[in-house]
Amino acid sequence: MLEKYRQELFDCSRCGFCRVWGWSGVDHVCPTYPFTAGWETHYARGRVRLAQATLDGEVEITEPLLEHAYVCTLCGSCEAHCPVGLPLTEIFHAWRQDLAEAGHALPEHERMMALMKRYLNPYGPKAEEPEAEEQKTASVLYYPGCTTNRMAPEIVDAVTSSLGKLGIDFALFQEDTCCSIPLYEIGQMSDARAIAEQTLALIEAYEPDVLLTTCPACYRAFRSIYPEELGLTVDVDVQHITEFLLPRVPDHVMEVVKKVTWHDPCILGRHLEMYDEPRELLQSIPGLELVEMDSNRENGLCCGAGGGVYFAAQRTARDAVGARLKEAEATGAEEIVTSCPNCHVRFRQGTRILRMDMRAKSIAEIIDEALEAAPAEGEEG
Amino acid sequence: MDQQQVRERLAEIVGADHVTDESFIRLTYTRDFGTQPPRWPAYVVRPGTTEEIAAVLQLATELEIPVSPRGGGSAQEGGCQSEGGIVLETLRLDRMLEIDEDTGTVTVEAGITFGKLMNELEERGWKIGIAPSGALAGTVGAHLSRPGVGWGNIKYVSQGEQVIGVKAVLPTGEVVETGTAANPASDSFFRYALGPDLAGLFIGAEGAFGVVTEATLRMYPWPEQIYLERYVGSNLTDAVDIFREIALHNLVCYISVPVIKPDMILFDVNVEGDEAEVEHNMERIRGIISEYDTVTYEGPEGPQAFWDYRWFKTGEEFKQGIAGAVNYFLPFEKLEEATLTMREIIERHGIREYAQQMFPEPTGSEHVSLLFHHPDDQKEYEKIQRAMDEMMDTALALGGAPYSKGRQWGPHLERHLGDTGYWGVLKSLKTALDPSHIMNPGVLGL
Repeated sequence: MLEKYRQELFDCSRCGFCRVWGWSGVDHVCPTYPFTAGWETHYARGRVRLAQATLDGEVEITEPLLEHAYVCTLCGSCEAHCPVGLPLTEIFHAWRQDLAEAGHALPEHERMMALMKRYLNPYGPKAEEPEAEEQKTASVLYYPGCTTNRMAPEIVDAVTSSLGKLGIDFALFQEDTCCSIPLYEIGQMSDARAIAEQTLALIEAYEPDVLLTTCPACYRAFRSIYPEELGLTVDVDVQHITEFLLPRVPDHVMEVVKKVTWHDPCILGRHLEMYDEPRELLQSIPGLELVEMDSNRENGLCCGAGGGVYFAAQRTARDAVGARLKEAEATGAEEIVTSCPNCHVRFRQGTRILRMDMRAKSIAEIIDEALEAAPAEGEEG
Repeated sequence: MDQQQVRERLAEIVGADHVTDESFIRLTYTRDFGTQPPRWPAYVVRPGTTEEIAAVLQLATELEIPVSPRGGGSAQEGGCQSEGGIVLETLRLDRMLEIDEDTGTVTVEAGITFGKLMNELEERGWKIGIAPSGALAGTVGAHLSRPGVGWGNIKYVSQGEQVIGVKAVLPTGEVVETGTAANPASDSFFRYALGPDLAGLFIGAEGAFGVVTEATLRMYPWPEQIYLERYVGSNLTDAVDIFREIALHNLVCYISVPVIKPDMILFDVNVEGDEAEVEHNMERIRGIISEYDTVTYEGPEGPQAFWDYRWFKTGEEFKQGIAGAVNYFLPFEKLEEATLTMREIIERHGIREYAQQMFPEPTGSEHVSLLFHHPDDQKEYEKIQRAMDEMMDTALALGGAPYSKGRQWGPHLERHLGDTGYWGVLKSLKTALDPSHIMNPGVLGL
């Protein structure tokens, strides 16, 4: 795969603008670099050199090399700040595919892969099996995704509550499966496809017209990765919760007086360029003051968990989330709001560890709060 | 002492996390931003304090291991490379130490990048005089070691001119402070104090005499106005006359001439000050330019758009490829001859992509040739190396003074200056301060 990017890979001018800026609302370009040992190989310029060397067989692939290669969240910030315009996210993903195809993987990722294969879920079996609900078909199917199901059930509660208040007939995806993005991100494409096929078959059983997602990774998987990179046909209208709610919610919200700041999830923002919809949704709530962090939109700092970093380098991920939370706290916001369960869970843990007064909220919870006192009247889904 | 023992001794100084001899990491320190051939260091260390740097240099002197300091790795002449020695990366020394609004000085650690420094000053209503094109990656220590020109060349001359004092570690591990700070009872507020200007020993020296770990620079209140205007000329003689006259009267912060082609010379003027000063200087500049009918007015929009995002825009130039750079200073009277001579050499060698530029100083100009290639294109690379060798000899024969020397200019400097008194003094100083000859051997030709 990397061969496809040979020209671009060698177009790197080695300027080093992908490390830290400290200027124009961009403190550090690479969200994890400041929380590593700080070698060249811990940010894009050095990784490009390693990818070149991998392509030309100049370097032995060792576990330490893999650790440096994979402490990258694929957040796209280096790409957004590359003056030469290199498609760095695609390059690094292609590099991972080549490494995976050659049989290389970090032990932490191998453990996650084994869980995925066995349970269709990177977190393994549930502690308790939930009571099985009767599966129903519905026009709108809400697919929470693995991280939301396991680690942020409050998002599921908020979405189901909001949809109910809006009078939307929907079904909740009952199975505990993953969209397979964690495998995709670490370059394990054949395993990702195998999981995706099974998940897609389970989704199709609900016969939905609209597949509603809250997790940006699931959204991107169904919308573009399945059809474009895994060769799967997704015959359903995939929508993210923000775009789904935006035309439906504003007429039904009550005043919610609070100050919040919005964190652009990398996948929703830099990858899919959905910057305005969540802001418009939040600003449709009377009394809610939306304040921006120093780095926002295409400059927004990553939470540090994506791209498999959460599984392989938890300490770095934890430090990176701390940096983002401090940026949020500096705005004076009472809550840091996002739509990605991965970011949300790290924010929730981080605010507790850092003993912050600021709370972490998902956008679904905010909307549900605003809808609470204003039940909708018979809007169809 | 074997490689592992050396690594362990280094780890005792900087901590195990901050030293490596891993080959895949060393690979990424074999090059800089230019076209020098790769050189493999045996170790890379990332010290965090002046004291750690002193201990590393002491050890290197004891074991006779060469040491090359490196900032952001964004210079183009191979000055931060090391063949078999230690690359000492200063990026962990990235703190703002003091902003002194009474004396108008800012003291920083050498590894701070210009982006961070400028941003923190701007938030307080201050600015530095000079910053390099690669400000987002480049460090203060590396810049003044070259000796540091950039945006602000005419009003502020060079980073060297902005230095009030430095703290540096000599190859033997001694720590020296210069200017008024040499007095333990004093801060750094005046450079030419107590005796000879020892800061000058490190400015432009590219680590040949030691490692700069801190610097005190002048800072200035953020100007009320910054105004830019673009012109295009068709005659190089006229354009150089204009640059000379504007520089002589010190009317601008800088003149940037990013494009010099046979029939087109594009230049921007940047004027700063209060409203009256900007208006007055622009009136005089327009008056000077109006004397030449070969120059047309392009307006403020283009350069203003560049200025607003300038530090990023400077990197866009390198979409053309990796650039071999031949940069040197010349008096105004030789700029036209140099431009034509270098163009002839470049074209005779059949270089496909190149750019010629000027960045005038008060008493002359930096003259720049960038020869681009795609790193996969070995044939073009070899042509560029041959052309650059000829260009560097030609530049020195013209009386040119290379800006950043690195390893690229070393042999040429030795060849042209080897018999001079200057060279003799330089070598004597080197031997006196660096008896084991460990400090960045090869740069400056030493």
